[in-house]
Amino acid sequence: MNWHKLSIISGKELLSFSRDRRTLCALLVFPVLVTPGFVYMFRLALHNPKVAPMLVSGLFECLPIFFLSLVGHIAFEITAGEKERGTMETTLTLFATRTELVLGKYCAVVTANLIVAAIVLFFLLISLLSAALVSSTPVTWSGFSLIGFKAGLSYLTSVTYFAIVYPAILMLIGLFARSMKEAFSYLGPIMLLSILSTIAPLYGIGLSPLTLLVPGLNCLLLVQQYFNSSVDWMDWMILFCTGIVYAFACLKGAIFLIKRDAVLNRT
Amino acid sequence: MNQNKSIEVSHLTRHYPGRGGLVRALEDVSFACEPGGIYGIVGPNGSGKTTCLRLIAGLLHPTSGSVNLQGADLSRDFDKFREQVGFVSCTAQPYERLTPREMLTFCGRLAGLEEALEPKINSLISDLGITEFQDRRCGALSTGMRQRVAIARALVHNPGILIFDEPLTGLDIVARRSLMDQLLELKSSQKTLLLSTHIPEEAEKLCDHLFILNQGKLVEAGTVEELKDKYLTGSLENVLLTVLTGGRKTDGHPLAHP
Repeated sequence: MNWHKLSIISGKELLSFSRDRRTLCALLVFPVLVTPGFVYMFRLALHNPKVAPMLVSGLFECLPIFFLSLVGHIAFEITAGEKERGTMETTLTLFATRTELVLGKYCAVVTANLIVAAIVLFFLLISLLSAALVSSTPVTWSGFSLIGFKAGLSYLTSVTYFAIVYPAILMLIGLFARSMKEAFSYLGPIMLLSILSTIAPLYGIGLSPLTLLVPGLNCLLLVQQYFNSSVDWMDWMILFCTGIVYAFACLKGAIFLIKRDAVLNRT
Repeated sequence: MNQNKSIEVSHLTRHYPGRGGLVRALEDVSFACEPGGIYGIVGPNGSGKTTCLRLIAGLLHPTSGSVNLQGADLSRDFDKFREQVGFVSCTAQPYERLTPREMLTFCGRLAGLEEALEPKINSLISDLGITEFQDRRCGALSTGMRQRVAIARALVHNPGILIFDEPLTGLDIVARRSLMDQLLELKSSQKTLLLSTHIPEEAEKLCDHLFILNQGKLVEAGTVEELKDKYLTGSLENVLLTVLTGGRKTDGHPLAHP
């Protein structure tokens, strides 16, 4: 494995993303559109510390769905999109093994995911400050600071977990599909599963040894439990270990798919 | 295995499953190319030209048979072959959001050229007439411009073997002539050029040696002059028609030999 080549490949992909108007729009539209909602929610949380954990945990449960749709666009652009545009043949003749190509692209998607997370975090902080500034009554910062640390750690957990797992799953789908359209048709059911995961606790599903193995659901349940009470460090370990195993399995699948001759077939 | 041959293809066969059963895209094809020549694979659409070139370039895996490039078995020494081969295809597109200069830098850095890269890119940009549009994104380039960028990309690591899959397809008369001149210049630099075409005039002007494929099989091989002498005709088009149709015109009448 040549790490220098991985960095060159991911650098090229990131440069391409930065020049894609659709990717940039998708990157900014969501945070801009939901900022008023964030402000309203933070105003409620600042004045009512009792509902704050519920509001903030609810917010963090929704964010992965947003990441899924945006990262899906980015991952499909450099897999199924390359097949569609006819650049896959060019890519396969580069001075890199197919394993390096997949891993380089994966690194680019993970980086893009983390950049998105940083942008969303920026808008969250702006929303929090705006909520405090527009508030007509004095802000109960003490009540909010109680959940501040938990919010930060939960955000970091969900962002890291989904940044590892989602790009690998999406790369696998993107290399399996023959076009962007086909790839996006597979994204729908995954988004539905993510939405179902967020409402799973309403049906009495909680964190257990079994649910800890279900990708996506395990992270959402763990974050929710962490907000409401506390979580054993072993559960965090299991969450990240299973995440790495799932990502590794998906990347193995993606490498298998890119090595197939069918990867050259265009729509 | 002959070390003097830059390309040696032995019993190359490629089958793949199709809707109506097994598709025999290439069947027991063997030929060899020596350094410093332009070799052409000619044949009608669907005769297996692209499959053959993709197999030689390592993009596809053969069902059976072998490809040796400058003495190295492609299946055993896949990474070594990358240094030896430049591949240009009319279906392979450049990266739309990169400029030609950025694309060449990207390919050159992957090939491990760091310090020598900048002079090499400048020379390719100047030699292939890319200067005017070197900082324009590839997505905004015409077919001819893209084809020049593709050739520059294939040459950036200075390979000994260049494979072109229908390089003149879709080009206007000026771009076609310019590209033909560039291909002939490459020949003078002792590189081995293997190209595919289904247009006899192109093959006649460019190639020293021809391999005629039909329905996945190598049906004829030789220099242009040898083939003309063998089929008693002054035109390569008639040679091809005779080989491919069994000496009959499309209307069923025998060919007249000029």
